[in-house]
Amino acid sequence: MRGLLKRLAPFAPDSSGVVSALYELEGLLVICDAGGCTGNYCGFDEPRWKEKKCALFSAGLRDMDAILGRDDRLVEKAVAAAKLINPRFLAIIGTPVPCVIATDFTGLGRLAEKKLGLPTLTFATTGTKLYDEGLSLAYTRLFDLFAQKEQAVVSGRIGVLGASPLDLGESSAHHLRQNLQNAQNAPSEILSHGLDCGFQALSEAASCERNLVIAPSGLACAKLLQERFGTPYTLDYPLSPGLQALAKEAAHYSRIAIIHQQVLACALRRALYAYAKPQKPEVTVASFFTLLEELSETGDQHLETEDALRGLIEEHEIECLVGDAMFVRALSQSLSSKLRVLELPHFAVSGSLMPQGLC
Amino acid sequence: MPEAFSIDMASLASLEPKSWPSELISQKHLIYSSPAALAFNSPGAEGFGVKRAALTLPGSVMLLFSPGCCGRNTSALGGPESRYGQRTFYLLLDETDIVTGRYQTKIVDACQEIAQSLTPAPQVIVLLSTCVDALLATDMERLVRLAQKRTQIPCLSATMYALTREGHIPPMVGVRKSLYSLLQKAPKDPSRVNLLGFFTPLADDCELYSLLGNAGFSHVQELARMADMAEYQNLARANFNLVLHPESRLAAKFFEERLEIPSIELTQSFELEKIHKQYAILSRLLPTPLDDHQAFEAALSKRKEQAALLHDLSFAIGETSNAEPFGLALALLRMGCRVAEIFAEPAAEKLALIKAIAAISPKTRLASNLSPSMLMYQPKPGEVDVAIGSDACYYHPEAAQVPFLDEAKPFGYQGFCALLNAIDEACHKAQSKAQNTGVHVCAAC
Repeated sequence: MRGLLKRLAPFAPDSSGVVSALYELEGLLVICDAGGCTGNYCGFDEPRWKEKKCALFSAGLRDMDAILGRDDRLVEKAVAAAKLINPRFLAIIGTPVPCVIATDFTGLGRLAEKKLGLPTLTFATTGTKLYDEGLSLAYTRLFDLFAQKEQAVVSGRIGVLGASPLDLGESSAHHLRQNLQNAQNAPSEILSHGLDCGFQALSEAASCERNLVIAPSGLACAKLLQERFGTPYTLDYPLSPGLQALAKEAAHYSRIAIIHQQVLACALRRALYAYAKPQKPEVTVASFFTLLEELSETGDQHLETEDALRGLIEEHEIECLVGDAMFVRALSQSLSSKLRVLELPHFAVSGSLMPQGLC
Repeated sequence: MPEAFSIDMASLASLEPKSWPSELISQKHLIYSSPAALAFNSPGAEGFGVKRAALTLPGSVMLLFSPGCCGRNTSALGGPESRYGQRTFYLLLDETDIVTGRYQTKIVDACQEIAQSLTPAPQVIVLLSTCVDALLATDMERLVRLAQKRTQIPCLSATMYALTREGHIPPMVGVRKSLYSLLQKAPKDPSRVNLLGFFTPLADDCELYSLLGNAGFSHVQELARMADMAEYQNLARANFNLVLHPESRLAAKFFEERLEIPSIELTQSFELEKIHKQYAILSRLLPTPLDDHQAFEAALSKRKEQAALLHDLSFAIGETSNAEPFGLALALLRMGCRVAEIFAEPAAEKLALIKAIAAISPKTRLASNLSPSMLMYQPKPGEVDVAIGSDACYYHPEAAQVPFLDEAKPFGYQGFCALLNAIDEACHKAQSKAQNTGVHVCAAC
């Protein structure tokens, strides 16, 4: 049955994607919920929560707020919190409750902006969609609003788009930067937007020589920056030595499935092809999340259900699965026992961080 | 730089609850989902939320029908490695489902598919709904009836409505009642007594078992110790219930009204004389008196033994632990300890405790975990020796750490002794740390 999960647990939702993109940007973030959605985000979708402070709050909606649509109370609470925190902007993030009561987020944003005198971003997320959609929405809105000034291009400076712990499985950009520095044509300066990189970097987006999109969620924003400032972009993921070793190991098999966010999966596939020469194995990239046409090869598959995952393994007679350990749960014992699994955690799937060896 | 809001107990006690500062009243501000108090703000995040509570029923499976975000935290419960195994199922709703309500017809189909996919078949299916169904006013009774008819398996509903947290029936109260709703009226067995209140059993060494056993109650029954649904039905044969947690009062009312089983409430306390008095009162209501003499004496000895250690200590007490924070603070103060801080939300029914604390220790400060200003919280160096509760431990990483959050629930004299043991152990750990690092942590070290 479509929508029924018997083995897997739900993935990170769109609201988590939005908050993840905004987390380090010194804003006042208000999740428009009763408390549970915020708790889920902080407890499960945000590995930075115990390490880096963020002015992230729940609106603390109660039944009468929902029934009577008391938006003015929410704005009053946000104004009081803003006095304490002095944020750069306010963001209000939707959940199932405002979805059901059809909150007018545009109106709410205008009301809050007027009372606060701060730029206000509202996101009509519903909790029914997936995190990558939320990330993409948030990156695009952020850069659209705060990256408006033309600037001189700084030679060797690159912007990284799509650097969220939900995809990276890390709470800092340390390894990402290290892997970029170790690559050919290493940049002299890296703006890893949203991760170890504050609000100021948004307004410096125009100064980047190029942008590197490391997850599908960064693409829409890269296109915006290309259109606005002419900044070129590339879709690629800087593989760590650990991930290179993983590709090398997978190259021993002839039918391989890589299930992760597409940009990482495709970078792994390229590395795998290089290790597997002269015989090219059959490598299928699959994802429960966005699959971009730009990167897809014939046979790549967008997964929507547990059955589709099982079907992929069975129909392609996959010998080696590179992906999150949670996916193995969806397979029958007889199927998984024949399969070599090379674990590649995906935080947005299982909440597991990337082990040190793969960072 | 603004500071986290706190108020001393003397000032708080002098005010009527309606005049308490807005920083202490969660409805009046945004809610800080502090890392210290995640479990409080979202009980599913740690400890027991409605989801985990619903799986307390033996042989049960749960179907959560909701947008994906509501089931996100359940990834920690699922999986073959978890004690809950593969018992949680999800029917994910999209926007069209919510707008049209069409998912309600899918719920029964989903129950059937789940039942058919499991061997052996589940003994109970719990239908778990969320804020979405609260707002759509879904008729859960009807859904339960339909699912039961289709699957021929007992079904019940539980609700995860954070919107009603301060309402008449908060989610954790509602689920405590729902879990007993499958009980059928049965002849009474005078040797059976139920303990209501927790989703895990009391600690095995809790004196309540032996006290009741010696008084002729050979079956001391708890939901979490029921092996299967046949044994579960024995809960309906109890002579009476002991209510050990106030959130079980509604469940107790259900027992009285539907099953004609009366209840007696016992309060968790860390004051030995109070515990003794409480057992004496209970004893008068039973056909055979309880003899707690030995357990009382042992606890008194324990207190005497630890008195010197405790007298030197200053505590911070949080609300994320197996103890009610105001009652615990008062008990520690009466033992001669100092209590520097309490992290909790005050409530009108705690006023007597607040006044009693203020009378002994007017400068003890109270802060609410949920106040946005807690983002700025900074501990005062050297002020706290021991932190009790995972929230207090978070705020005072330098102090001896006593989370006091064991799954086996502490109660009575056993709870008191377990707390003292935990404090003792934490102080020894802090002492070792001090010796290794040269950093002085605990006054008692």
